Amino acid sequence: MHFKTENNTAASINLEMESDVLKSITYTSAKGKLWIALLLLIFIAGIIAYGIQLKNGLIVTSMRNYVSWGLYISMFIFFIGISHVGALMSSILRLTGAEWRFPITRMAEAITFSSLLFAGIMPILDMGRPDRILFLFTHGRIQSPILWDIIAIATYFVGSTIYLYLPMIPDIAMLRDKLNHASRWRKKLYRILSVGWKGTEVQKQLLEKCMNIMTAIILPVAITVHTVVAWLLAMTLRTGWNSTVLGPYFVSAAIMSGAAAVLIAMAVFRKAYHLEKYITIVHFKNLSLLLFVLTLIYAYFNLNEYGVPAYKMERAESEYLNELFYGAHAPLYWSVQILGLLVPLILLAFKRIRNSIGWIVFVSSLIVIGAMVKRYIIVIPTMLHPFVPIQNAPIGYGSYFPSVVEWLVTLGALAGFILVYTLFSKLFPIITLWETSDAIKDKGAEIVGVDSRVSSPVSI
Amino acid sequence: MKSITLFILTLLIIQIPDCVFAQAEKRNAIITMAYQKTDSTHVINFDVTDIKNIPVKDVTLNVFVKRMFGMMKMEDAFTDSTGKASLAFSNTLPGSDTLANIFVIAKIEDDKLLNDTSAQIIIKSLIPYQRSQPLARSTFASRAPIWLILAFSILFGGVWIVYFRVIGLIRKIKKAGI
Amino acid sequence: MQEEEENSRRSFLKAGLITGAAAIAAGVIGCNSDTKPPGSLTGKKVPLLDSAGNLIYVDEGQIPVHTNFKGITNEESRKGIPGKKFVMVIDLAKCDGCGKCTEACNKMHFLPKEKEWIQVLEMQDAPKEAPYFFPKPCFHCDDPPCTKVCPVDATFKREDGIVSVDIDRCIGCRFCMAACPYSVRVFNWTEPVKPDIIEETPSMERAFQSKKGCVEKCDFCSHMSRVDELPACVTGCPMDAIYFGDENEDAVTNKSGQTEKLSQMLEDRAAYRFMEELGTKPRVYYLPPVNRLYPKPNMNDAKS
Repeated sequence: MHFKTENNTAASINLEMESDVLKSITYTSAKGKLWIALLLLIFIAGIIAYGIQLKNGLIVTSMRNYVSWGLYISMFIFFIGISHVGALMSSILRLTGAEWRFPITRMAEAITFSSLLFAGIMPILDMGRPDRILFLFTHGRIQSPILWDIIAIATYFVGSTIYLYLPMIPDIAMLRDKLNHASRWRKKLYRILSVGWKGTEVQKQLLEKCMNIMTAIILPVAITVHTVVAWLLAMTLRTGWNSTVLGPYFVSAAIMSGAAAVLIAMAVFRKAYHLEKYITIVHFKNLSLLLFVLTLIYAYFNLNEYGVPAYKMERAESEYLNELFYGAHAPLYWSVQILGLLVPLILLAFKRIRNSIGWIVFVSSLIVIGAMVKRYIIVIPTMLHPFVPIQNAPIGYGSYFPSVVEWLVTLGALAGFILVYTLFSKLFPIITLWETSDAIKDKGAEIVGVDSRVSSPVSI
Repeated sequence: MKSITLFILTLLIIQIPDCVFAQAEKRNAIITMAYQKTDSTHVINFDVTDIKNIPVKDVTLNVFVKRMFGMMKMEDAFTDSTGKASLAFSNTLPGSDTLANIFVIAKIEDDKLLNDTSAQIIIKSLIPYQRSQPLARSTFASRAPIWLILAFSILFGGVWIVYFRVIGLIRKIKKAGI
Repeated sequence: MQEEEENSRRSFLKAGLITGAAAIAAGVIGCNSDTKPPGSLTGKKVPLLDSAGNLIYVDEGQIPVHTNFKGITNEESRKGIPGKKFVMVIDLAKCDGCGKCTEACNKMHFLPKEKEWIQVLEMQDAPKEAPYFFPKPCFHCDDPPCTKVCPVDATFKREDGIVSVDIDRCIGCRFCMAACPYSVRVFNWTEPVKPDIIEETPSMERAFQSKKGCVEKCDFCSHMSRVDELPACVTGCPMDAIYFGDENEDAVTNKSGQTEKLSQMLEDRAAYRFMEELGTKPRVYYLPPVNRLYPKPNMNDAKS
């Protein structure tokens, strides 16, 4: 691997990069503070909205007996999807030996951490009796896909957190040693988390071993997670969910939306933390090419998911598909399919688009928003098309549009997700310093994709 | 030669006439029931007499089988000049209690000459009592199938063992730093 | 006096007993092994819910012994009534869509209008095919998709065939609602309005089963079956269209007490189960709507 045995890690870290990246931890601009305040505000609004929901019951949502799952479950699936970027970066790119990944891996893995945190919360927000949540452990039935979800998500969360943490150990040790003016709790945090890292030969070998193990294990776990989340829907006899490709379809969407999310995060961090030298057009180019391939795979699954039943038009299926293609949900459906899939696919096919950070952010935003709305399109129209016709339903039972409380809670969760992500970048270096330094030293700045003016690490 | 086995299982239960204000000319009657089982036929025999033991002819007997929520109507039986009647009883019904007993009830109702009365006979059903079985392990039952438990334990147990190994290695990193 | 009445009312309710006045009115034929004939009048009035859900006062001596059971435990109601396999048959040829079954059910279980444990739908399978009314209770499937997905065993299959809900266990995830292909389950989106009576039964077999944030549904009126009484929808059907009984006894009974041999009825009338292709094995059979004596539904009105 990329460990240099003859050098002490602390010494091999590129000093220039170190000071550039550490700025983001030691200094928060006015804009940054405003950003955090704004997120906190939305997050608190979400908590208040949830309080209202707890008090009055789920009546404050727009969900009713027919549409018994709504925005919350859609967002749950979305968060799970976004979380897959960690596995993509740390496992797929690592296994394929893409050296350019180093400056962006931590960004990606931190997305996984933060989004899984909120993915786990979404179903709890949706519960009618959150006070009975412990019943899941005391009376849990392993036959239920919900238990599969809990097990798989917990497993993925722990695994990806370990994987996020492992390459952070040397960086945290550096923070421990260099941030002399940090507050006491911060120092304590760094001291604990750096587990006495001194960069000794034995420690390096152990760390390398840990990372090799995790690389192998995290990809299947990630695939399991989104597959069982898809099974939450696919294990029912419902039109539109009763599909055998739902698992891989969701996995493909997950990796795609995750890659798009990290592209946006890259652009934001690059600008906000002035990391232009380290996150360069090379990373955007490579990752957007990957995004193109992932979008192609996703398009292929879409063809299977909608095209195959649309050709056969089985009775119940045809009612559902006709609603999607021509009915009340057609505007949303076609917007998602065209703006969230077709347009990105066409745009990403052009090299000129993939060479422009602005365009890439635009396309990625389309994909992320598209992925979010797509979850909604997967959940709601199916719930509105049960086998037994909806007749004489009370007002509000035969349709669904999220209520203010649902929007606030969802926005609160989204803000919370971004907030945790932002705070992470304020606590730890958002670029893995020692890995990137090592890679630059080994392979050269060009291969790693950083600015060629970034000099080789200096040995002390 | 035909071998005939005769079972007389239960005789008569006399019911107090329902109608207290019976007209003077109406008589009280007694129904006697017997279940007869041969190789090929199952018959219920009825014998209707008045309290002086004189057979009553041309009486319509309404025959029912007691079920959980109601009385299941069988065919009617008519007494002949000797006060006797019989009804083929196929005995294809299950019983209605834990002993697989079938309660067959004969009633005289709204007869011009007789007060209402009824009698009951208990016949052992040929179909044994179906004891409730606890649900076998399955995906829809409370208890999970063994294969499911095994599959999950092995899959996720395996992953967690790896996690613990990695956590163990992190502890080793700490030790190596001291 | 007032207090005494209140106490007796409570003690009755504590026993979790609800029985029909019909059993008393009909008297005892002398064949019911577990029922004593009504004894002498004691002068003490006991409140009872009749099969229509009305609270009535009956002399204590008139109550058959089997209704004085001490209430059943939660474990017993999780198992179900021993030796039974409940089954329902709905004769579509007799159903005129009056909706009285829904009314009776809502009254029995204290349900507001927007909750319907039994729904009467107007169906037409193809444009030229006959329209018909379709009463739809819970099908109490033998391979229930809802109990499969329940994460906490709050909804479960009983040994007597009933699919029941334990509202003291339900976490309100609504997965069972998503999984039920027949949309029979309803959710308490808000705090339900509690009826005047408070049933302090440890068992989940009771008339009032609503709790905020929990799922509820038709339970085949298992609290009535405990005392050999028919479900509310059956006794509420003026058309005698709904039959209910024990498959192990091979018999079903309707409101008029007309008791049919189940196996023969299903065979002679070409009974079918709704959406057999889903493989859920419902415990509710339908008799096709042939030779109807009432006007068919107007499908133009039905489309919502």
